[in-house]
Amino acid sequence: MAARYVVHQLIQNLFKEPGLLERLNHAPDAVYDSYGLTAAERAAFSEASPAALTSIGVHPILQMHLMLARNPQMAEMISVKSYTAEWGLS
Amino acid sequence: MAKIVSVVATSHILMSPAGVEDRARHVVNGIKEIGRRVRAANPDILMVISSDHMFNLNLALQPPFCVGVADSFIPFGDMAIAQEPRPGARGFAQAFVERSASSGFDLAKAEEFRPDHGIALPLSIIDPDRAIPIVPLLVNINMDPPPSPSRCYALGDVLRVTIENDRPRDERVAILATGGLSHWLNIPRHGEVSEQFDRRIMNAIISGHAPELARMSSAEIVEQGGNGGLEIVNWLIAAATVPGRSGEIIYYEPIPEWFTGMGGIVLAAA
Repeated sequence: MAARYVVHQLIQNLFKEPGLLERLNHAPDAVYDSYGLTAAERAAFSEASPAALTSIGVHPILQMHLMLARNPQMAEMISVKSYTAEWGLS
Repeated sequence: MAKIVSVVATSHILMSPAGVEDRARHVVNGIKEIGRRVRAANPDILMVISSDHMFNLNLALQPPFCVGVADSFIPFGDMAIAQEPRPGARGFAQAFVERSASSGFDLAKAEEFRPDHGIALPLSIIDPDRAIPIVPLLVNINMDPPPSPSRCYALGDVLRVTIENDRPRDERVAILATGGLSHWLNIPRHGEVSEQFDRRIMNAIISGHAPELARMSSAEIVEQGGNGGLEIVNWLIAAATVPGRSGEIIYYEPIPEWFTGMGGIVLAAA
């Protein structure tokens, strides 16, 4: 079962709405309130793991968006930053 | 009558090479070789067929296919890809949309489209000087249902007709499909790679048997190649522009550490 659209809408807005990610990281309850998330949805967002997000039906690609947004190490791994001039990439 | 001078396909992601240096280098060198082949064909236009990773086509608006018609495109910047603009090719894009409209495909058009890694990453290697005007074609594999493989193959034929019938004589068109190969992303079997699926897909396409793959259902592709494996429909569109054409595998590496099979092919020049 797919997640409610407001759940997906919140994730989709993370890369579009200036300041939203910061608010989600520092005052998550206020963000959850503004989107009307349920307790289960809030718990899944807070955990932000594939298992938790799958449990509420978050789209697989949007799961990646949320995990990349909230996990700098993961974002560093899934990037071209390591491919420096030595690799012939600019 | 314009001419299709190059048809290539490649996976479109890189992750940290740490721990997989040799395979990563093989992949990068493979994409570089594909780039050398494309540039050697001296194209005037590069059609780039990819999925979008829901940075542009998300659940808010879900067209099955979308053509970037703008005069220039600035990458979205995911994966820390440089946000340097690339020229577009509005005339070609409009001609493709019009031919499609008279051929059973009502395509969405986008003036504001920010290519994500699906397009921007391979282009950073294939055309590092950002010299070749591009026409992005987005295939929305993330909607439910996604465009079927048979529809994608049929759209590739419309692209061929556009080039052969509607474009100026002597215009040189290269076609780049990106995405795949097998990967299961955040669904059961997450992280698996199927080398069997990957080689079956590549071997079928380089031996002129793409129509057989186009008869698969989306569900069969997901079962055998994962939800990310659906991106091979982009390869089918490219293959349909040169039906029966043979080719060669330029590189292949199964990289479970990156959660994907990585491959690239070149179909023979006419």
